[in-house]
Amino acid sequence: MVNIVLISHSKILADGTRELAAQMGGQVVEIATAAGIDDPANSIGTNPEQIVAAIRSVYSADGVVVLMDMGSAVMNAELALELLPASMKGEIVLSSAPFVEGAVAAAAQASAGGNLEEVLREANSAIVGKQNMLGPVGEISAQTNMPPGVNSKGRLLKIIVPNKLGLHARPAAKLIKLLSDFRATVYVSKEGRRPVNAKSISQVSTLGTTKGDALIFLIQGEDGAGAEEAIKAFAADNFGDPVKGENDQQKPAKNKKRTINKSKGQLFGTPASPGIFVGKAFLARLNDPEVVEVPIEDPASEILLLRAAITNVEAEISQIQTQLNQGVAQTDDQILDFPLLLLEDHDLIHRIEAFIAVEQVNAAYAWSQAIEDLEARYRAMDSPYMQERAGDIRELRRKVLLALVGEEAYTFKISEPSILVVEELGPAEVAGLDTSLVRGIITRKGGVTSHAAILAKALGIPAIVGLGDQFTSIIDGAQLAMDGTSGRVLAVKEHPNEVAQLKEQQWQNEETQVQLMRQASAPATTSDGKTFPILANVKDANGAKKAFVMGADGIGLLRTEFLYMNRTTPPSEEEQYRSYSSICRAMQGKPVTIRTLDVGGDKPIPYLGIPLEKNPFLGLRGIRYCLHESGQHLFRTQLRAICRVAAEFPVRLMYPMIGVVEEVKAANKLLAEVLDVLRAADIWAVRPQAVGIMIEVPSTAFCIPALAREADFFSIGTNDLTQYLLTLDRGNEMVATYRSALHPSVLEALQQIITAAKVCQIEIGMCGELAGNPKVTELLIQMGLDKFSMNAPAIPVVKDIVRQLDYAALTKRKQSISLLDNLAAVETALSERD
Amino acid sequence: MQKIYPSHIIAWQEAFAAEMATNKAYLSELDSLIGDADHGSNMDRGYQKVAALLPELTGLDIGAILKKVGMTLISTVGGAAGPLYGTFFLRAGASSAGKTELLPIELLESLRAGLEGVKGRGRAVIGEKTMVDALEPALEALREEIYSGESLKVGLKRAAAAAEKGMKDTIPMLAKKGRASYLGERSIGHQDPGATSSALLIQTLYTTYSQLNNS
Repeated sequence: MVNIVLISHSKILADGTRELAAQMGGQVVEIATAAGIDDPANSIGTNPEQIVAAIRSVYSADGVVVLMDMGSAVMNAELALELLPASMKGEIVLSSAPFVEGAVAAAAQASAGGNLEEVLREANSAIVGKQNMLGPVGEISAQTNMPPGVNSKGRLLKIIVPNKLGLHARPAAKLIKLLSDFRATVYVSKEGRRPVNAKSISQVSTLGTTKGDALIFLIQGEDGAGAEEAIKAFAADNFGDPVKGENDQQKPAKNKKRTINKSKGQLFGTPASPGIFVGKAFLARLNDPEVVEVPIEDPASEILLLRAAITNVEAEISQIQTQLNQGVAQTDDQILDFPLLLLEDHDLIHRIEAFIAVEQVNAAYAWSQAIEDLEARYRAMDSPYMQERAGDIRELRRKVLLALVGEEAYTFKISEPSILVVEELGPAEVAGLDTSLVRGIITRKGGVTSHAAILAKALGIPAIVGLGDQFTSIIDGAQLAMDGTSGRVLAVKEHPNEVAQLKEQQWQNEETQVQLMRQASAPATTSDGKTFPILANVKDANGAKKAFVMGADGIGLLRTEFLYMNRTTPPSEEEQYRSYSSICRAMQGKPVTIRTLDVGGDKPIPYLGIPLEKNPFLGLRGIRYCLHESGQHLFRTQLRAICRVAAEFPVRLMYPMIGVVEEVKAANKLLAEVLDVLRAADIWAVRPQAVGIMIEVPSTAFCIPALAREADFFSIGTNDLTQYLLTLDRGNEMVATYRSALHPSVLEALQQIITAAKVCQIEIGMCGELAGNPKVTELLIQMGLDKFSMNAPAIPVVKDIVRQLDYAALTKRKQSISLLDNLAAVETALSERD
Repeated sequence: MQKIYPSHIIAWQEAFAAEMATNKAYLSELDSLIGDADHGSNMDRGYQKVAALLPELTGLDIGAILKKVGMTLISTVGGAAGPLYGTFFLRAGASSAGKTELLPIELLESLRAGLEGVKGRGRAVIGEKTMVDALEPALEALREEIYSGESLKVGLKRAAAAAEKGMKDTIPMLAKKGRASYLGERSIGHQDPGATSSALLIQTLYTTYSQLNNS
């Protein structure tokens, strides 16, 4: 029998409520009270020790529902729960149901033999009867058909789905992230249907919306107005999907199925990622664990096991996500948001946990059931695009189950460069592949818009998907040739001539790359003997290792903000010290420029406490946050770590988002203070070799001499400079037309900045995207740039270009680009150069 | 080196108990304007019990003393202040468990653990007209001073001043937590009683520390 505890400030109220409830609960349900305090002068209050005693007095393995009035009663109930032994906690639930109605409904359900979940549900929906009689549910409830127990008051917002695919995985993930900034409770319903929690990814993404559907949002809470504005803006932004090319985008979902050519030794699939590879087939059997239902006795420990497994998988995927934007390719690092949000979906996880607790089954079974149900809902959706998201979910099922049984993270044990042949892959699995060994991917299931395929493309791995039943004819270890552009797979034995042709093509592609790589670590010296340092932009030690291999002459931009992301507290000084040291070590004595924390703008980090700003890009960003009182402590900690690393490695320091000279002075003052404190404490630390600034705020172009007096070097950040100079939002596709660092006005600004820096005899480099564009290497050198820093893969190419230049001749020649007056002309002129 | 010893903690609690007795009527009066008029009497009831207990705590480590204070408050205060102050001292105690002396930074950590406990228990953040509005600025000021190498005395002095400012800053605030939040706009214009007792808590920490370290 489920029993009940009533907590109130007033003993009279508790006793009266108990009397009412007992009428419903008969003699069978035990109801205990904890109310009032032992003080004759003022007996109103609650006492957690009393609550503990009350819970113990009616404790039953079937469960105890605790109802309370308000304020300290709620807090003391929580406190009491903490004071009870862990073994009891699983069965004790604090209910937010209304005190009197909840008690009566709970007693009735409990006396009828209801289990804990049923009793809770009844208590929670107890208020509905009264609401139906008295309103003011009226208009709102008629429209939204709220689930029982949900208060239907609030702001109503009708949104017509603007984008073709509606709230599919990525927009759904964006919506959840957007709403997570607000405390308001938000429900969303597709016209006439039952509303779902708009903060739950599993619920939102399965609404099955498409363009033109009417969505009704119900927003409750103090900051509801902000949430409403955010949702409106999100809708105006086409739910975050690009407007341009939207029609092309879903087309691929209809995979071009080729008619199968029955020729022996030849298969056709859907081409998903271009490229050719000839090599051994590595047949990987999917390690999809079979799950059976096992009755268990200790649901609490099963729930803990599940939580631990989920946490592990979350950590694994976050790590992959962090590595993903390594500069390997232009990847869409939001792809992994979807699985991550699913793992954080409280509604989903609670449902699974409740299932474990109520049905007394093993975690693996409960997880598997819930996820398979979700997967089935995706596979059943109308849109083929949505159906392909099912692969993501299948992967999550697999990963959490493997984590549950304690098997090591799933890896393909490939020893030589091969073609991975597998049933289906999830995005995290693709992102985690070793691209030096997996040189091609062939799958049975999946389509070109599956996240796995998109990632394969980003990583440059040729891929052919959706082979269907032909898949079974591939033999492990067979020599295959695959062409990711045509979707053709050939057995080498049966088609020697065609394979030879493909091989020739593959060889040519690789040869150029090999040539470049061979010389990558040599300096970039022009034919007349001038050397340009070619550096790398990285964000962690892994990136540094790659950069070193790619021949970077150092790190020109270490983006430290990634160390601060995807976590709930800032990294400690020690952690930063270790991280920066390991990066320096990976560069084996080459200089490392550490950029201090650049947050704000499009890189929000919740725990920093930067308030929601109307204009985040013009707000508390970069150095402004670090100098502001809210960020100074964090900044000092970072400076301490950097100065300590500087005592052991060649480290340069760089401040981001400098707009005025006062900021450089203030930052340098803090740096000096930090050094004094470190020295006073006898901690080994020195001022970095050089202290420079980013040139990315347009105002800097007009105060170069003043800045040059305070800084040791400049590094131009072209991405922000472009957006600020042209006043064109980096993230807004509607204003993308002229947003280019190649626009004549940006090029003119660059020329003025570089010239002024030359006059001041200060080093001038560039670490923005433009620096890695091989088409403008010559132009930038002509303009006078000293140093280049770029994503690692571009380094061998840019170095090769520099080596072919004649510096003296180049600087004598007047550069012709500056005469052009529009972006199209610049682009044409540059493309004619090769 | 300046350190906090168990004797400091006991003296602090003694002094705060006296403050609660002195300010009983004042705190209840503040509470009568926006709440249920019992904050002063609740705190005083709890601290009479704490004061009676203090002589028995000599010889215990700092964590143990703070935990005893917390448990006593939890079972005697009655109102919302019980679980809130109780949690403050329980968490502060857990953070300093087994320690017989605290470095300034450890004191700060311990108090911050307490503050985090209060914020978690009450689901409150700064600006909602609660204890947090006095405690958080105080600990922030203390942190700044400690990190810039100032003495603990100076740090606590600034903390006390920041707590007082934080307390006064609650006057124009709209209450968003507790009984006062039911008043909505009418809660504006009154000083929050919880922030007031919290400011006194930090104030007495400063005065007891500076008295003990002058003599």
